[in-house]
Amino acid sequence: MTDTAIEADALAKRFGRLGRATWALRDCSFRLPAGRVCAVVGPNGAGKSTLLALAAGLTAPTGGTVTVLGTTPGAARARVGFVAQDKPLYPQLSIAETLRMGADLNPGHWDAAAAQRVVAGGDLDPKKRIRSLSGGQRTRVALALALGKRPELLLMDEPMADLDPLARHELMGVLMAQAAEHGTTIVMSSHVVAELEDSCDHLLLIGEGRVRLAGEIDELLEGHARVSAPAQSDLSPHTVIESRTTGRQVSALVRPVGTLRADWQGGTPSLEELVLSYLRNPEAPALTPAKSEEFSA
Amino acid sequence: MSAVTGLPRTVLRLHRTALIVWAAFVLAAVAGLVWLNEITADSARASGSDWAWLDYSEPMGWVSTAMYYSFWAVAAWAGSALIGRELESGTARLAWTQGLSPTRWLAAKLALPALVLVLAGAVFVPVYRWAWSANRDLMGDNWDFGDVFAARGPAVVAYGLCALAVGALAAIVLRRSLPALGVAVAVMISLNVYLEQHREEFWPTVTRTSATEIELPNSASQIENGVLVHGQRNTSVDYWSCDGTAAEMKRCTDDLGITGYWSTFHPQSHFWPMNLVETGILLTITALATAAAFWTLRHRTGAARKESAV
Amino acid sequence: MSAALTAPTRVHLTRWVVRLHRPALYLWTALILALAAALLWLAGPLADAAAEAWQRYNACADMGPCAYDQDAILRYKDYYEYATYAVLAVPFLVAAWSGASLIGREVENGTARLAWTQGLSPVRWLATKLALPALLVTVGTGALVALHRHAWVAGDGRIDTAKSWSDFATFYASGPVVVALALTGLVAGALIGLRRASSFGALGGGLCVTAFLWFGIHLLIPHLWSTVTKVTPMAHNVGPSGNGISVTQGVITATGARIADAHCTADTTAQCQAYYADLDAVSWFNDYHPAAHYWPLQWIATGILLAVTALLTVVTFRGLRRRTTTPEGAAV
Repeated sequence: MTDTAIEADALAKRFGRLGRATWALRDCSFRLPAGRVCAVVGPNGAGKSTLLALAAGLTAPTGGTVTVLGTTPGAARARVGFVAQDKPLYPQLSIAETLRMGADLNPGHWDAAAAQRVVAGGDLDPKKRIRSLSGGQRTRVALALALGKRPELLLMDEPMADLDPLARHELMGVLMAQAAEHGTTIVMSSHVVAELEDSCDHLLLIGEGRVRLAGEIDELLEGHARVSAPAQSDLSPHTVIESRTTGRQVSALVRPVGTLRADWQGGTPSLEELVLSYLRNPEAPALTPAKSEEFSA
Repeated sequence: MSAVTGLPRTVLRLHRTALIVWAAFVLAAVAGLVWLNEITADSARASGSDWAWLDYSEPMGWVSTAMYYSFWAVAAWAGSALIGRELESGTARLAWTQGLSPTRWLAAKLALPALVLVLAGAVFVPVYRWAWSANRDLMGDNWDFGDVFAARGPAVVAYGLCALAVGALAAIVLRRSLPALGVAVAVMISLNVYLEQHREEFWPTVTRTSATEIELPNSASQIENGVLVHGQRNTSVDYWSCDGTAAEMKRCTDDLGITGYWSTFHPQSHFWPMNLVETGILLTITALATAAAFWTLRHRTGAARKESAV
Repeated sequence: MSAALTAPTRVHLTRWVVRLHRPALYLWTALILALAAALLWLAGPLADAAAEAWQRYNACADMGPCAYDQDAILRYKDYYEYATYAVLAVPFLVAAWSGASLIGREVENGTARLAWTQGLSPVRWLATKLALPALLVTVGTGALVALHRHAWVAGDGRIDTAKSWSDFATFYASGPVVVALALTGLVAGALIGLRRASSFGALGGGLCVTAFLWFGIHLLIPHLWSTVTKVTPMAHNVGPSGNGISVTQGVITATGARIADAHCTADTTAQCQAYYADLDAVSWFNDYHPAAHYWPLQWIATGILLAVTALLTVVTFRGLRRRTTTPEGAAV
């Protein structure tokens, strides 16, 4: 087993024909170590779904490479689980048939009990057709199908969007247990940052098709500081992500270079503050492992 | 100019491809008819070849055949792309939550295509009527041919409207686009086959009896003919095997007991009543299918509302 | 491995392809059985009754009035026509279903992506989705074509109004060409279904490609085998002779020059006689395919269509592979 779950190098994906082409992802480089629970955040249309689809081997990149579990996404297919945003399932099958299909299509590593457990948690009648399920119930079946595969890497696109708070809490618990018990790497996209803070330990912030922030959440938070300083203060040489002047005070989120002046009031930002600051300021310089290595060099 | 606003504009935008394809088809048909009659007809006649008339009459036949059977495509489209896909994918519900009642949604979805079909007919039918009669000497068909019969009157439009309504009903009842497509096309084909077979019975025929053999005009659409054997109509006497001189013929027919001849037929003047009767039948079915579609939709969305309130 | 892992050891995709398309399988089976029954009925009782009616008619035609079962003749003719068109519709049905239901809907609904993230590759998925229907289409359409040929043979020579082998509807409905076309339709529908996001668009596209290829092969067929030339002296006064699929007809002048597509079909009118005298025409010629060419024409056309189908299959698979996978060796 390799220690890297996903590694992207200058990954790019363009949609559409010449002339009207748009870049969904551009020059995207990052490394996600195995065993992490990684949150992929970013505004709508940032390229999150495209990134997950590339890692799942559902679409081919226009440029660059992506390595999944030490091999190509296509070769890693049997070891990767994927839950798409709209939770597609065959409407004509029953829940039981859907799970049996999972068993038939994932020979050798199907965990029927795990899949059953997820479905049973929702109190669903296995004979019910997928067609007749609610959105949240479909999500549950889609998760059961992905977990039953017992993947080494589980990619989920907005997995919790359709779920009620109770189900969300329960299924997040199931996922965390899976990660803890089997060392599964989990990557889930969301734009609800608060929902990810407690469960995720790695962050990938995507904006306008590029990686804005990548790394362990703890390290990222430690690498930034919230400061309040007198209005005319020179914030250099620190990298300013966002600053706002109110009266005689300037409040800023900075990436400190060296130590901060002692008379500036400061503190560590919350994950939500950090993410929002980057999203509000598209020009703020990106911070990715590749870049931080350059800094330390 | 913003004559098209709100809901109609949305429907037009959603089905722009279909509208473009349909407009291109109708315009190509009309342009083809004009070209055939203004250019091809004269050159075919000028060439003097035995087969040249086919250069004119074959494409003329294609135009009327394509327009006549276009209701297959209308039924398929109405069943799947217009209604079925929206119900299947849930975008219909999206529309219903945009301050638009399901019945108004369906009304707009049906009214605009219906208007487009009527407009297309209003352009095509007069042009085809002119084209069909312009060069009769080059044509081998007759007014009672299936495609010609429909395309020279409102029946061709009625087939389209009926296909639209049947497609919508199938989609609303089945709620899935592909089965709706299949059912709508199958129903329309069956209806068309039935009407084509029974067309001649929807208007009283003319019967002519005569002591001598009957020569009908070329344009008459003969239904049945035969001989009178001792004054009784008979279709199975093989009188045309009588041959020879007039006297021999007379003896032969006398031996068979033939006292006269009869023929039932539709003269060409029956075209309009027959076409209007068929149009009426189709529009009645259209109205019934439309009413059933609205009723089913209202019933279902009403029930759904109750369900979600619980 | 824990006891919970009770999964099979081999990917069982076939049974799920059957399960997912069960209604289509039932409909197909019903269609084939119904049409097969109709064709057997046509070849047996209906053909016999029509043949007997013709026999009676011909036996007494010279002697005057006779009673014969005219309805039997018309019934055979009508049902033969219905059955022929039903067989000819099969490639279109297959193409429409393939584009819309087999592939298009899966792409549209995203269930294709669901399948591709199970333990099998998209290529394997497509291969199974095409191979199974291809088998059923070949067997079903093949049986229909064989039975149609059987029904045609049953009428040929016995029923005066039976269609000639060279009647195009008969030619296609009773030979392997239509089987190849059904397979072409299957692949064409899949190709467009994978590229178009809407299943209705894929349905229309599949139908159009099938119609286009049929039209193409129809234009090509007369030129797939060398023709036989029959020369008839002008004196016959009846026009060119030789029955079958005619490629070129015309007149031969005294100098031996062939003038194809001569304006008149026969020198029956004074105008035509003058025209031919002008040309100094001495005989008719007809380059045509006699009945003996039936099988060579059928098999060559079938071969061409199968080659086109193979090409479309390669394009389909390459497109899918290029769309879903990183090129080999790119990720090291």
